[in-house]
Amino acid sequence: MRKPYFLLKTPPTTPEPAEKLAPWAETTVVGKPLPRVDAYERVSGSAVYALDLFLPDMLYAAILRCPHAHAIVKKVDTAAATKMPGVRAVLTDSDTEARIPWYFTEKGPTSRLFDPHCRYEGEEIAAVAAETPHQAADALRAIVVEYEELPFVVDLDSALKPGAPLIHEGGNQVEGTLVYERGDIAKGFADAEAIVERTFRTSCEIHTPMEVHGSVAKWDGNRLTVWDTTQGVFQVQQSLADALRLPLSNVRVIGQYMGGGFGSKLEISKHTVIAAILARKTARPVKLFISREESFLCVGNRPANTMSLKAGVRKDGTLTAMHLINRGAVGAYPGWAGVGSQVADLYTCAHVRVEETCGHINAGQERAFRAPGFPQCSWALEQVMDELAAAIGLDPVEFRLTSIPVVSQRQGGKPYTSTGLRQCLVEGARAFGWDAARGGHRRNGPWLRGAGVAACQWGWPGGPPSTVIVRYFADGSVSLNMGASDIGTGTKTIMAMVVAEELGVALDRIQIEHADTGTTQYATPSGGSKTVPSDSPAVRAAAVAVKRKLLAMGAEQLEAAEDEVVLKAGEILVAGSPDKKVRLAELEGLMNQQVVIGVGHREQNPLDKVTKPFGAQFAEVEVNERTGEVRILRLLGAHDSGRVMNRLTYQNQVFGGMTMGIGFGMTERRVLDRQTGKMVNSNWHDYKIPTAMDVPADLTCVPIDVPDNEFNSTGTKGLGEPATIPTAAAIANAVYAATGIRVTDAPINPTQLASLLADQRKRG
Amino acid sequence: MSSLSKLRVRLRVNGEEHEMLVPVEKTLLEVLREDMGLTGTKHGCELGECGACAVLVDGKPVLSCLALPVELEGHEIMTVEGLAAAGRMHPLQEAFADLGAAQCGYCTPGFLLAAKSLLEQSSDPTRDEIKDALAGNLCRCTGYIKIYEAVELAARRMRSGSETAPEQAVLYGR
Amino acid sequence: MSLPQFAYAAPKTLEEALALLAQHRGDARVMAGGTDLLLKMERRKLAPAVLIGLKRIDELRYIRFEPEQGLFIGALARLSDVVEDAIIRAKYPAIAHAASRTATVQIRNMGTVAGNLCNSSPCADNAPTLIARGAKVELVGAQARSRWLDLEKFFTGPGATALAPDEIMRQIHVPCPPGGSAAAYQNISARSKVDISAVSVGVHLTRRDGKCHDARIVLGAVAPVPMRAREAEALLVGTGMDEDVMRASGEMAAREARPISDVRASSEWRREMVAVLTRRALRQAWDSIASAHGGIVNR
Repeated sequence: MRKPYFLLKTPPTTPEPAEKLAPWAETTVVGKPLPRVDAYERVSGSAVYALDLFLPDMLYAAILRCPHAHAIVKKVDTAAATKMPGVRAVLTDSDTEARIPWYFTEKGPTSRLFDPHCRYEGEEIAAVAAETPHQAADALRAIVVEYEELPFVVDLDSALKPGAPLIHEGGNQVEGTLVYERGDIAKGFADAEAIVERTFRTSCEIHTPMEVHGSVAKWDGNRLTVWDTTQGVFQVQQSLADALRLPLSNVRVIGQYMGGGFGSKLEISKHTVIAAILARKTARPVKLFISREESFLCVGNRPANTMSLKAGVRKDGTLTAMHLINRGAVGAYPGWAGVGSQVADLYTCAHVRVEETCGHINAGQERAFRAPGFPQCSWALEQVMDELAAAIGLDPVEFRLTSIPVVSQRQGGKPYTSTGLRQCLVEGARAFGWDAARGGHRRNGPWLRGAGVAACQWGWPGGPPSTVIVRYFADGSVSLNMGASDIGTGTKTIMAMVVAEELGVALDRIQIEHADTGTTQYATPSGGSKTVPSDSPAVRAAAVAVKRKLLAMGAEQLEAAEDEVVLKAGEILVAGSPDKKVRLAELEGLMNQQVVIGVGHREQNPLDKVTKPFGAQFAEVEVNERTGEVRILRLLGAHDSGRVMNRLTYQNQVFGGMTMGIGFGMTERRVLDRQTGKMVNSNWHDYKIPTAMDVPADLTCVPIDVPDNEFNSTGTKGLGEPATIPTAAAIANAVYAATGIRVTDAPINPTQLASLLADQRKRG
Repeated sequence: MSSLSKLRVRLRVNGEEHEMLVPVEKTLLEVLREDMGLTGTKHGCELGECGACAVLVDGKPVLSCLALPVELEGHEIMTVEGLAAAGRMHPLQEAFADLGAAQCGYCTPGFLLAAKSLLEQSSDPTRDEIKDALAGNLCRCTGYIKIYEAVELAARRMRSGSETAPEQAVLYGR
Repeated sequence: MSLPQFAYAAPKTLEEALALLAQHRGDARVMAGGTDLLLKMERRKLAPAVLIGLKRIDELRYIRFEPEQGLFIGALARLSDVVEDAIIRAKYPAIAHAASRTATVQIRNMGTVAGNLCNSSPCADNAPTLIARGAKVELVGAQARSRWLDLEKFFTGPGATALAPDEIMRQIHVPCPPGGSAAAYQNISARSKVDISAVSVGVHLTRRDGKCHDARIVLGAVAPVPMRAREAEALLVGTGMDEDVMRASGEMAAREARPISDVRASSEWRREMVAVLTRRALRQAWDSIASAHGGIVNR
């Protein structure tokens, strides 16, 4: 199977655009707070999500999963299930067509679709397709499986000890410890005037988008169409083509409306391939959606990390050394749980060492989750920064301002195309009223109040490939054709705004075709906060290509030179000759052709510079000293994501990101039972994501609107992920300011905090 | 397996009578989506946890994943498809669209219906009342703030009986 | 998820329902709101052959207050009915408050108070205040045999009650609040603001001559069933209910509690919260007696 794009050493590219587009000097559409172009569909119930698709003659499939944390399947007896009413196909590892390799390392596959060696609770054993969902569910219960249960291990510390149950033959450690080093930390610590050292732990977090994962598969001869809940149709297309040995041209994947993914829908899941095989076997369309409980087990998670961070500082605020030792549990299959990049890159520090070790446990595989690794790192780094500031008597904002780099130390000292970290801290602090909020302890009965800050950097800038087609119709309406998915972030809206900006066409006259491998152009999956910076320049290039052609037509009709004409308000004008103009609707060339097509590609990223989004967040909390309850009173996010394309979708991203950060910091935690190896809270009753009651009424954002024109032609950087990175750490720092207690383990739940507060009282 | 008992059920949904034969163990959610084609009502968990499947029964929000159609005969059911009237979106739908209160949109139908019920009881709800009324609906995208603001904007528009532009602070942030 | 198959019966009278229950003894379950039962069926923890839906039995749908006898809550009264009922809000505000703290608005519009009790979850929000207020439940069996039971004695273990297999809970009765009395309900969760209570406390206090004449403290979610904290109660009677007494009573209640650690909270925290919530509830109830009667009740 092909590697996902983010594992490729050299990212693919698209041809350089014919011309380098100058940055927009001023904009008329871009930057406005415009509602989503598909808002009507999303509020009316008319948007068709994959689960809403009911094809004629469609079957319903379901998957039988291993109930044990670690087991060998000795025998699967499907005889009874096969004979049950409505059952049309049963699929197990005995079917050769189902023997598809899965879960790859550099060396090759580590498992297969229905691998008899089940390494976590929830692993796939068999699947059934039946006439109704109820019949499929009944048939699953009729399959008799004989298991040999194996010893299991569900925490990383135990998994890495000698003699631990082996999850893979080669051992439970993911090959190699990644070490990053610059300078000499021993020297750095020797130079320090204050040193802080502490171990932090974060909990495993589950994505749980509102829409569960699933696919509808349909064959026409040897051509497969799949409607999928995915963030990247081309990613799923490639994986399906590889798994089923089909040419890309025979696999069409459509994923237009989807109900959130946060990384869990960035790559293909087994159920999609299973649906396709069952559909082929039965010659009927097959719908296969997993249940909410299954979604907690087998479509990814943010791994739990244990991070020991030691950092040294001089009294003037100079960071002298940082040493991070991180261990992360990737689950039962290949993955990575590294966190170190911000330690190496966010603040100026000459001597840095990062050691990261990952290991397997008997639990579902990790998957990219909104800024993978970064909120964990922030949890440790930003709390240590807070302690260092206190140690040298500097204000936490002031302290951070002393160490803002203008180059990426992690990437060979190359300068950043832009860095708004200083503005994020300064303007954020001003808007938050930081100085007032820090002004001494405040007590209100048993409630203690405090404020905290945390900053962040995000690692993926985006870039090529991206190819977009814009078609201009004879009546002046437009079609925008792009492969990117709109995963709820407003991608379609922002891309349409770019077209509107260049061509002066109203948003409601732009039709958007997207996220369909059969009809749109290649785009990388919508993930990594890179859709806007990757695809909007290609959209702009395509729109400009259309404009050039229209101008050429106008110049010919007006008998003027091409560089004399301009497009303005639906007319082509000749500079300096007010009479010489033609309305686009009367453009002969357009009338003759009926359509003008522009193709746009994403330009290369600058080779000699590095691009990163930055941000800072501020929190004010009250802590009940007796119950350990935390009330988040205020949260403010100030983010540098380059040009702000749409104030409304910008706010959406920041508010949503901070709320997910509240979940990471305050409520969310996968609980694996050490006695059984099973997840005890695989449902929303017991796995708590933030509700309307958990979010502060005072949630604000301060857009740091600085176009990054060196990076791309729209001046954009990413936002969705940075917005969730520092939230939990800012809250933890506020809790410290309120109580003097450093909470090292996320989430900060009342149980933990009350116990820490009680310890503090005992100590006096 | 043919069901132990299929029942003839008469449901009144969005003002229209529907009569159908359904297996008794099918939930209202399943019947709305699979038998009536009303897919605006979303499947989130089928365990009463998330509110994505909320519909109104006699004007009050209930969870269609934990409701049996046979028990709803004689009651008035409303789904998101019934919100718009006379070719015009409900003020709540307009406000949700205007303010970006629907991101991925998957939870939106449930929120709209819970909010409609609230606004029928209280034309000018406080923020706390809004939170309480919406606490049974989960959203993983928005952070809820835009949803509260949209409910407040819709309430204002409904009270004044006219279009009110969103406040600048709501659109641009403070 | 999908429901297992079952046959559905919709009796129109309690008598019919009881006959059906007797007929399908052991294979049938009675369903009022369905929010607990259908959830258990979705999760295949239960798969009854027959569901007896009570919703058509209009005689069970009522909330009635009789000045001499007190409050009667029929088996079909939903949680939201209790929350919104004007008389309950006026005369039994703590009972309305506890109902309003149960689950979410959608569940409250479906689930019933009787169902919440019959489900017998140790953390059921409605039990503590009802027990504190001296509620009884009427259980009706075949041939309309009726018996009344103190709610306190109704719960026999997690998920288990005194309800016989052929019985249905017809109604809940709460006596008239004695003069100079008040109740209060406090609950808390360790995980999120919308969660099953990790600890709950219902109290009832009667004041006479400026002193505490009668006290009942009922703890939820800290024992297999809702429990009275009798020693904590005893500390209050005869006192002037100053802050120290209330604190001491709360701490005594914490010692009496028998909490466990589970996915919701640790036993240590639960015990600590019993002390905090008991004190809060006592303070709230005592203050509300004072404010309702100008501090000169039953002089």
